[in-house]
Amino acid sequence: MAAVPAAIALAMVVYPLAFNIWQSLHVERLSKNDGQFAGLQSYSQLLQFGGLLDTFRTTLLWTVGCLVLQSLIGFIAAVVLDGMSRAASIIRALLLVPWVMPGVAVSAVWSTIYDPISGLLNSVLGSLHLPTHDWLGDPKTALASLVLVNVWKGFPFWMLMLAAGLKSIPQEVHEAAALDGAGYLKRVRFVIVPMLRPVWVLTTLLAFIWTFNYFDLAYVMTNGGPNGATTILAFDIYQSSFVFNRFDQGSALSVLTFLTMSIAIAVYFRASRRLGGGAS
Amino acid sequence: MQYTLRRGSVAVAMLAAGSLALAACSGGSGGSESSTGSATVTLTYMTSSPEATIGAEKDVIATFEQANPTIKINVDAGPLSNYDTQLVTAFKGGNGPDIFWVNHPNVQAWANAGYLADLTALANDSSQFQKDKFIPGLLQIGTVGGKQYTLPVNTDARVFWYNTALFKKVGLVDSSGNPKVPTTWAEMQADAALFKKAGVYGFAYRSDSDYAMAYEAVGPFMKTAGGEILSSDATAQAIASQSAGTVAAVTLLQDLVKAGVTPPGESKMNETTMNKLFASDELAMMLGGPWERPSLEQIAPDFKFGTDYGVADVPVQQAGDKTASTSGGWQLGVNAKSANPAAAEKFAAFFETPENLQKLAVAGSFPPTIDGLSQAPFSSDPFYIPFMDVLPNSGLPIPPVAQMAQVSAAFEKYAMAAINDGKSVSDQLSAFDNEVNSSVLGQ
Repeated sequence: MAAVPAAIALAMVVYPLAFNIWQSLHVERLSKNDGQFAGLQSYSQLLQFGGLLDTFRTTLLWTVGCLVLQSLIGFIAAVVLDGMSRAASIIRALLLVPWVMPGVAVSAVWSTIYDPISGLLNSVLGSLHLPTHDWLGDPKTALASLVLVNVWKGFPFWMLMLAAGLKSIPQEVHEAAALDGAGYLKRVRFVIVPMLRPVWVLTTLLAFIWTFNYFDLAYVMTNGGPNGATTILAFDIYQSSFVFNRFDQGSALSVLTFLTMSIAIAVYFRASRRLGGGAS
Repeated sequence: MQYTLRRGSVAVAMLAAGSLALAACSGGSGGSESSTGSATVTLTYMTSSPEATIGAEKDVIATFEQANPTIKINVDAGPLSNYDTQLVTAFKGGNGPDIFWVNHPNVQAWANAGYLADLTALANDSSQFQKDKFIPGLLQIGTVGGKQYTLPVNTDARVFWYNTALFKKVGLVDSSGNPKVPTTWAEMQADAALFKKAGVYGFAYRSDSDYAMAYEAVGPFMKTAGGEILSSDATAQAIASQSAGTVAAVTLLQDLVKAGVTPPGESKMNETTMNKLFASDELAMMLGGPWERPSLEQIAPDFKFGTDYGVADVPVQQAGDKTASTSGGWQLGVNAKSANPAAAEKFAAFFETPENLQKLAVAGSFPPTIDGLSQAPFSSDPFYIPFMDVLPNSGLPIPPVAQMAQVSAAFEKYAMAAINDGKSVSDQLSAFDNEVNSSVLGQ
């Protein structure tokens, strides 16, 4: 009876992956030579002409930027709400709204906020006599602007995970620390943060996988620009395949993304086994 | 538990087997024919036209169905934003509609990939297709390797749009009090500076897609100056940096941005924002195609051609030069794997009569025929006069190549770096030539 789940896994996971690898090794660009074996030509072309290293760098900047800020803001929100009683559940529910909104809806909302002519952000800055800016149109600020949007959208997930982790810290530990004369900030630093480590690590790995592959914002808000400033891997795969009809290059990018994610997933499973066994 | 799992597994397996069987049966385009050969044939026709303009196509289809009762046509309207993706995905799966609109940049690639049926015989059959009535350049777009793969549906061009109230506000009027429209680049720049002093934007250009620089922003000015992006000979090499007209056109836009006469957000300026600024008297001049008129009517129903805005020839580099513009347009193709190729070609031939194409072109494009604009309703509407002026000298900004999307995207990237970010025009165009010649056209 393991044959049926295996067959489904084969059809839905192994076959698409194998086809992607096959396509990355053959010519597939709506040409007369489609189907011809090309070896690693797509990979070498990506390195030589496709700006692969730039795209990887942008993707890592995007991912790390989002994770650092999301975890920090999520942690602060979790700690603050942990100290509140009745109001906490209402506030927590309201703070979850950005996380449950579809990415396309978030992109549309923030595109109007960032609009350089009539957007809310420039209106507020103007009313405070601060300089306005074309946030999404300047290569120097476009990626940071997208990171800000994703932080707004994603920090509630961190808040939820870390809040659950906070609840698992025994009250006696807090009381013991207080008895030893540790103030609030010292308790956060020496008690809460170390005891949240397992949750933090696992959440980081999960969020890394999701953020690395996130497509919506770059597609809707900036179309990968300006001048490639927000071309992350997921967008590059889409553009190569469906805009430039370079299915071979799109598949090569997909395979490279899969390899990167495999490493991240392997680290996740190893960490979850180690931390799950070591957590008290 | 084991019994329930086994039963559930069997159900899943049956569902999977059933869906696999259905998938096997559904391959290929629409159409069904009984063994007697006389039953109704069903074709699928796909278009990118919005709901507002699809009515004319449905009328043509209804007329064809009346004259051919054994052929039924289902209409599938795909949104423009993912029209090409939808079609390519279907074609790669061996499916797709029987007859469909083809955006001209895709003709080469889709023909090379074997998606388009060879229509050479149809195109050369004078009893079915009146070849001599069509603009030769548009027929050429549908030709790949000497074979005709698509037939022209429409064409277009961009002209100069000006806000009448703003021209009068800054005193740019002739002796009759009508707006004194710039005819040269230098006049346009001087006028833009006046509008800036009056507190409005002098000029705006589209930059919201990979094709915007080539077709909407740089392209029209480049055409008036005889510029090229790719060489028009068989080698089709990128020569933008060596083409004086192209360098001059990019420099013109760069100078306008440096002069501060353009609105913010020019890195992603779309048609709707431009039209809103234009209709609210915040923008004095822009380039645009005939589709701007219905768009403006929707945004501002009281903002009228003739009283509130006008159109004119695209300004030229030097006085005395011929005006010109970029043009494009859609083509009609037949699926190479259509289950009913004879019926599909019969409909294509009917669709491609000059009379039907004339009816289709009213809402935002032009008929692809030589005398199309000299007939009603175009001939009696002064709105089309500048379009008639520019069309004879208009053409594609990029000659048809299979990698048109990549070439256009590369031009967008480098041109915008020069125009919006102030980088050296010659350096950016040289980088464009180098990238396209080594990594796009060379692959």
